[in-house]
Amino acid sequence: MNDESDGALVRRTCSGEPRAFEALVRRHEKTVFNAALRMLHDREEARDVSQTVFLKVYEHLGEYDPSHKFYSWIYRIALNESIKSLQRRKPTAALDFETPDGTPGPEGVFDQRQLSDGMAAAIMSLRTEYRAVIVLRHFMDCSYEDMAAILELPEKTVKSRLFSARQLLRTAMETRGWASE
Amino acid sequence: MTGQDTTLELINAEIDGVLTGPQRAELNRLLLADPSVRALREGLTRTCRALDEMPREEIPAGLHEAIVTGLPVAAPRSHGLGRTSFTSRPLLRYAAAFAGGLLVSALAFQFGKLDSTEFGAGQLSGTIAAATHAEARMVVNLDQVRGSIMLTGAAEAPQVVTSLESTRPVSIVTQLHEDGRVEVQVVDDATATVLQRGNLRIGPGR
Repeated sequence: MNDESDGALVRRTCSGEPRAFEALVRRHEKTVFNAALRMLHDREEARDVSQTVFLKVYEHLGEYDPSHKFYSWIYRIALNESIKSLQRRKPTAALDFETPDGTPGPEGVFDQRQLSDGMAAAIMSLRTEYRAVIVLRHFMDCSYEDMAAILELPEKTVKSRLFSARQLLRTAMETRGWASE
Repeated sequence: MTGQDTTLELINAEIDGVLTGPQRAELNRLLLADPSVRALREGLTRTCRALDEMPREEIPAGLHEAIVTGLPVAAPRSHGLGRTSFTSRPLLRYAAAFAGGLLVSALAFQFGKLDSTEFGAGQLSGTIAAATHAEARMVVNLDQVRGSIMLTGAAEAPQVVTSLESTRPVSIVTQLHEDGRVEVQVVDDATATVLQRGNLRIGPGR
């Protein structure tokens, strides 16, 4: 495990040490892939987006401002690339997540897999700006401050958007039969 | 701020672990006084717990290698991509396919056996292939050329499938190595600069 800070690895990469960038990739690839996966609900697209994200990060590493958190920068690129990928989709692709996977079994009870599938479908039913805050908070573990920096929005707006997104998810899950205990 | 807004803010602050002492007292008061607040809190808490318990997927096999090998040759600070000469003779050279304009193309071609082959612009029809079962893929996302280059088919007779759009003439140069790896280079025709280089492989290396 490489204990060097992101900033130190960036400096070494810019000094011509490609292995340093590989360490950055290893550190952030899983989070980037999972964020793209939750934004897109498609493993192949998420894979392509992940590749594009690190390619862009590498190409623009010289422009990185070390006064900002490196992961905020890379997460912003990941979200933007995911949104671009969504915009390139054909309109019919939006129907792909209308699957029955998230419905409860005959007893009306969700098991963990059904719950996860149902939640994934509910996330995809959100508008992109709501989905983005859910992904940042719950899959990238970003604070309100981080989210505001990544989305370039006031913290108050981010919080309002996150709270609305959670409400929408709750309603979507309850509509799918996920009743309150 | 309305009462509903305040209630939502307090519940969400509790979920996110940023509730202050006075806010805790206010939330407790609301919970005791109003069953609908209790229901709202329970629903949101369960929703967020379900979100946090969703499994984090492992990255697909080969993604890390694809990312690392797909990086440009030049160090990031330079931005300008230096000229690179080829040290070995390419087995197959697919040239001048994307000469200006905005052209989208999907071409598949098999590796030749002996000599390098250069295709002129009039010989570029190739085989139109739907690359639905790509085993390895390199994403190209440069200013002048974008798309993907994929390796498909059997390891003994791999096919390279390109799906690229470009605003300048570029060449895709491929070389099959002894270890089964296919080295791919995206080359700017005007400057002979390698814009991007990567290694693709189907199956285990020899």
